[in-house]
Amino acid sequence: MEWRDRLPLIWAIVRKDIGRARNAVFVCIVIGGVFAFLVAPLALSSAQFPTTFRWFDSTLRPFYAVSAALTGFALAIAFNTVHGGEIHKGTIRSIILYPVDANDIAIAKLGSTFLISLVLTTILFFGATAPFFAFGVWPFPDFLAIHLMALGVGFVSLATGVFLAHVLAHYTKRMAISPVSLGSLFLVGSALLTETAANGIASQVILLLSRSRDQFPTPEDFRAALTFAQTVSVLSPYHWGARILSQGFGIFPAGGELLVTIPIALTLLAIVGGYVLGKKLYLDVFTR
Amino acid sequence: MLVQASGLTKTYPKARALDQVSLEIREGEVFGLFGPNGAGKTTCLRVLSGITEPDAGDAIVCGVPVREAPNDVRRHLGILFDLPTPYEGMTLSEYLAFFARMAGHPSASIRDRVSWAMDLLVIRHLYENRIGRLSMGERQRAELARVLLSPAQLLLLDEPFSNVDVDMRIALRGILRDWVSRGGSILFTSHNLIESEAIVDRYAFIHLGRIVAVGTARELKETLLAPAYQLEVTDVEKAMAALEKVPHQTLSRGGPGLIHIGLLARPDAAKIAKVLVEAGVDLLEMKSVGTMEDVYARLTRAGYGFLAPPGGTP
Repeated sequence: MEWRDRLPLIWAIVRKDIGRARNAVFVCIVIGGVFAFLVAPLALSSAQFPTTFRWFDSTLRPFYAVSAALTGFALAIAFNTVHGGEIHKGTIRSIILYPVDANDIAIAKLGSTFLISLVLTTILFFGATAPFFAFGVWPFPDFLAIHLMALGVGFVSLATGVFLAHVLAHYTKRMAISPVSLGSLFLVGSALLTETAANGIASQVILLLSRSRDQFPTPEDFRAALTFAQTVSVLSPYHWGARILSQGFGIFPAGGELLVTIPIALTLLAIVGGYVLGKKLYLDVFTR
Repeated sequence: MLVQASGLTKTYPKARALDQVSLEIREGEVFGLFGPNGAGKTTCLRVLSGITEPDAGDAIVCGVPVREAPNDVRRHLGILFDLPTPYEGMTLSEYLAFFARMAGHPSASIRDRVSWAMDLLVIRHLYENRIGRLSMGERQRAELARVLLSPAQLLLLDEPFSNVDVDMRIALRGILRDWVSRGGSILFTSHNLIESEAIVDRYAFIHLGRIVAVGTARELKETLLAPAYQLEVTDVEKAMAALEKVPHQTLSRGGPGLIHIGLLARPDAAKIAKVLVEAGVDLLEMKSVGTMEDVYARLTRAGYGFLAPPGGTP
């Protein structure tokens, strides 16, 4: 089928799904408003001492981590609701009666997930911090870039898992691992493989091992943990996003991008491969 | 031909759902697929609609080769499967509007199409009700409205009349016949053979994945049933005596003025009137008494059914 025939069907599904997020939008507005009210005095007092805002590694990390956590949760919950819920309830049986293929369903569900997550997390992230922007304490464009980057790379992680599920379904002739499970797995994996998270996990392991050996960990042990974290972090789309932001904000100079090209190429391969093989999938994989 | 299927085979781990199924459906006909539970009816519909991959064989549905373009074929189909799972949180109008979009209707015409479908199925008064609050019969009508929204050439209907009340069944038969009269075709499955005689043009019986008989009601009755008639006569005693001269399997009295006779061969039917006239008995009415349920019973009978119909598939 041509794209001009497919797009209206994809949009019909997206439209149906985003219509279900009305209550969630209302809840987020309330939560964002409450937080904005609570942080307003802090923003106002910060505005009393005008300084030029500068980015450092130590300030970018927490904001990026908060945004990544927020958008990651939103993506996982939204995708599980619009796609996982549809499979669980069986309503997907009605959708597959129409001329859509597995890719159309994946694109529609990812599209609705992206739009719902974008709206909800933007309301929460910028609603809660609105006083800081209103009083000129923080630069809005920079925070918008952080937010969109975190959402974008989280979305890439999710999409990789979803399309990889098509590859597995093609070879096993059934949905061996559902797009929801694999997408969520990739999202969580991507978060755990960031330098900060991987370093934290490795450090915990070192502490536990040293306790079992009844000796204190050495600085070399922690340096090894950091080296390990830096090595595995190239696999995480969140890490790619952080690198782009840190270079954009002038924290780190450009260089060393060669290491991340292989994981990026593999990610693209998974998405393209999943798309190509998804065209050949019979849709009863969603109902068996 | 709207459907040309040949050698369709589908095996699941524990059963062969389709075994070399071949069938043809013409434009403007209602084709009924009948068989016991688990015979392969639904699998056949799923394969023809490109949802399930056959292990072997191929089908061309509405000009689309199903194995080459399994998802494209559904552009030409309106599909209702048994046990639908609709969106319970949507109102009826939202539900139908969504599927009107999925059927490819442009936004400008959706409201009109949905109104038309709701009027047709007499569910307009329910348009603000959530699907989850509809009765089973109302849900079935909502599902039929969804199907009829599709600009389809062929309707695949799995048990379309289940849960629908008698008035609506009669109306539905009219709606579906009207659909067919406008050039569309219908492939439907049902367990209600009596009701199907009011709508089906050609029948196929399937068992253990194999098509065991195909034909019109008349062809199947003539092929599979012993010729049996109900006679209404003026003098039952004289008629019973006269009918002894006609070679028969069974001969019995029915109600007042009625006689049931089962012949050994169909050509002997002509002798009935002759012997009654010779005996001076008036024959007021003579009608064949075989039903499609008798055909089904004949096909399912142990030792005969589902091996092969006599004389092969019509």
